[in-house]
Amino acid sequence: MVRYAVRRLVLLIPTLLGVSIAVFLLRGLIPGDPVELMFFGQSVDQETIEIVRRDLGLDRPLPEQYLKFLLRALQGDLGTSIQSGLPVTQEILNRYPATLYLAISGTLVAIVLGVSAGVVAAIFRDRLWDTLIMAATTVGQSMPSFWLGLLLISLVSVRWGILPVMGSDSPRHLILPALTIGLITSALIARMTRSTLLEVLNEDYVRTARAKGLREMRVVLGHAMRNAALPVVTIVGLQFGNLLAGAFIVEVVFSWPGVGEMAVTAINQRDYPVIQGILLVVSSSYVIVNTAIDVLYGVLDPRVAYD
Amino acid sequence: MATRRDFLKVAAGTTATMLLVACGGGDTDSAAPTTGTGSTGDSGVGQSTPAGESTPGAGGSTSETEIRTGGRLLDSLLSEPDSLDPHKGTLLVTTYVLNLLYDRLVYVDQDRQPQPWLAESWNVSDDGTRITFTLREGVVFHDGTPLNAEAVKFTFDRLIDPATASPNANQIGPLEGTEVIDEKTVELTWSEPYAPVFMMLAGSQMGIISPTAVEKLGDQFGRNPVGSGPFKLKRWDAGKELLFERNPDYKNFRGDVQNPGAPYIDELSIRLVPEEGTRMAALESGELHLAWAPVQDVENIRANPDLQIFAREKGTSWEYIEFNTTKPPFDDLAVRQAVGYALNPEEILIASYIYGDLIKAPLPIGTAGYDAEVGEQYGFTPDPEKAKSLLQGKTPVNAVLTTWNAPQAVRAAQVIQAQLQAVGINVELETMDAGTFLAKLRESDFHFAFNRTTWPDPIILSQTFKSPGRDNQYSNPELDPVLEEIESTVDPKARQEAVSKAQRMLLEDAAVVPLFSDHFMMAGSKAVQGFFFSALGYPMYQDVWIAES
Repeated sequence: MVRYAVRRLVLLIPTLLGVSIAVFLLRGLIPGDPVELMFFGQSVDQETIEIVRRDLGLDRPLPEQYLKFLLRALQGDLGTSIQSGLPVTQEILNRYPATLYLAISGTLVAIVLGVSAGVVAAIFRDRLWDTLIMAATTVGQSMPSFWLGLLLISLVSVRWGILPVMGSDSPRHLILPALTIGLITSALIARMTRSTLLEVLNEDYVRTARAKGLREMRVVLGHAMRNAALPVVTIVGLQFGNLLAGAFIVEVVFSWPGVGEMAVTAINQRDYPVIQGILLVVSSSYVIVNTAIDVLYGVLDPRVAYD
Repeated sequence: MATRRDFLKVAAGTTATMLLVACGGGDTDSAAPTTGTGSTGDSGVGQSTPAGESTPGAGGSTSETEIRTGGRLLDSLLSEPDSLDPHKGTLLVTTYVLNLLYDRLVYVDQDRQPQPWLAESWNVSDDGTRITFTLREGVVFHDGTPLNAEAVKFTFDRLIDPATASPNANQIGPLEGTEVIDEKTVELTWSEPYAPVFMMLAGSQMGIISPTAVEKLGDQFGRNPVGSGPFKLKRWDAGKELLFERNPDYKNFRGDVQNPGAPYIDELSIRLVPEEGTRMAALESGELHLAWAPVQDVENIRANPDLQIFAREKGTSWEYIEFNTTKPPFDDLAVRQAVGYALNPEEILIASYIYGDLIKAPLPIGTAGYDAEVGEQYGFTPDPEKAKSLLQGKTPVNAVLTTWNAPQAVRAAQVIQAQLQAVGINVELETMDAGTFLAKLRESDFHFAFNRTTWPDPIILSQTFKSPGRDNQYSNPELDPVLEEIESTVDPKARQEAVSKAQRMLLEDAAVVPLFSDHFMMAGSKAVQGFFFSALGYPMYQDVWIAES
């Protein structure tokens, strides 16, 4: 178990290195020049543009820029924002907690809603509740998060005036954004829970449990769910990446001051250091969360082999 | 109520310094700050009112006694300012914020004429290379440092110092140096006459900065700005809000602002709200007092009894067709002219920005030097038959129209496509995000483009069309000397002649098809009183007060 965990952790290093290269190369795929964009719509001579570009080190060859980026990143320095001139590491540290807070709250909403809906659907298989829940998950999976967010705003905040439209000053501000990402992610979790649970419910040991005269509640939640949980946990881990990405969009909709809004702005402005920094931090979180889930398998299911 | 405030806010409506994506990193609505007509529905109020009529203390109207002081005004912007160091910040949103913090030597009135601000008077040398400014006495920065000749010298020395690497240094032209004559007199010297100087000096990036603060804060000055403006920065929560408090010692010297002293409101909060649907929802729910209005919502806002529209007409942005004249099909004058006659700018405007002024001459309507007469005489009038006859006997024209993916631009491009198709020009549309669009233009990788730029000074003509053109798209050796005159003629009358001549030549050569100048629209709660746009398009808050609602 411990050896397995350590191996997973060591494997993180090449993965993260790969991530850093991908992150660095990806920025080159976005057409457009950050310096030109600084002056979009303004009349500026080419000379000024060259001066600024040199100042930012953007005139150096790509491999040189990457090595510099990597060496600095290893020391926790992600460079300086082209747009604001502030250290990227500090900016991300200031704002990433808000994104994590939102993504984790969204995950909790998604797990609670998704798992309960999935269990209910499985128990009432092919009956009205099942049909309704499955229909709802289809809608949930196809609904863009920004649309759901705006819908909730116009209904809950503007029409009913119950919750604030935007910001992050109080826990009340968290409800709508967390619900927005939670609802959408819960759709997939509900479907996954339902199908794995149905599979498990056909297993012999479940029949045995029922034959013993256990109450259905106990059979489903105590026995079947434990084995059905594994694929669901995997999905939650994989969804965490989507959740972070979803949080980006939802942050923009609710003016939530996380890295999402910062990333969107940075991409539009081609602020390379900020884009790289955020991508690196976010993809690292994703990799780490999934490594943690790999390790968690062992806890949930002792049958998982460690070699 | 039609108070002189309402009057003023229409009177004062005019330009912004730059434009579009600038307005938001949020590309999705890059061109969002555009919109409608008239203020509060009383769009008939004459906007040609000279700003001079609304000088401070010009007759106490009843509204004066009703003014309610105090409170926090809740405003919003689409994206975060980059740096509040005027020598570093480049975004359009930044220029709005700089305007709160820093006063300038001069401001520009409704007739695009420079008026005294921190400088009470000035004197231009005969050869136009030296300007001597006499400063007001007793002005201090937020940190108590006196705003004197030394501070002005410090500001401009720092601006042009290569070590500062200021992206805004080009705004001051070929400035050689600044000399302190005495405590309240300072002289700026250029290596050659620089015509747009007053327009540029009025821009918020030319604000006077506190030397002591810059020396103390160094790199951090952009986060902790110290100017002498009506507001001081109180707090900046990254990604969320900028909070300003009134400068209690403020003395106003601008003729277009009525309030002679400190702002009426205690605090000004600027929330960062990139998503337009959210902005409008927050306005309706009362979480915001002011927000840039998307054009499509303007009618709804007008219909809402709790809301109003502040419009900025006669702006300094323009929408136009830019041709790449270096390659087929638009290397052919007749084909370019055919496009000019085939297009109906009014239909394009209605389908896209909705609110705007049609223009026939190639300059934004609110930019100094826009010559309506030249437009009438040499400009294009919609005439599809003429377009067809110009194309007669030519090989069928196929062209790609490039534009950026703001909804307004895309809709405009679609109408343009249909109108050109009607005269037999086959158009393929190509839309992309603003950054890519810009890169494509700069690489000269386009046939023709629907474009939008903003600038208050006619120098934009030289920057766009002087050989080989900003996008390597146009060369005209006969036009170049005229454009050079625009760059270097300080005398307004002589300069206007060159500006008019350049507009005529550009139309004769069909180098560009001017379409319209769109309006900026701000939506506000009815409780907001006294808000207006300055001639350069800055939102102005010194006269603002919040009525009880």
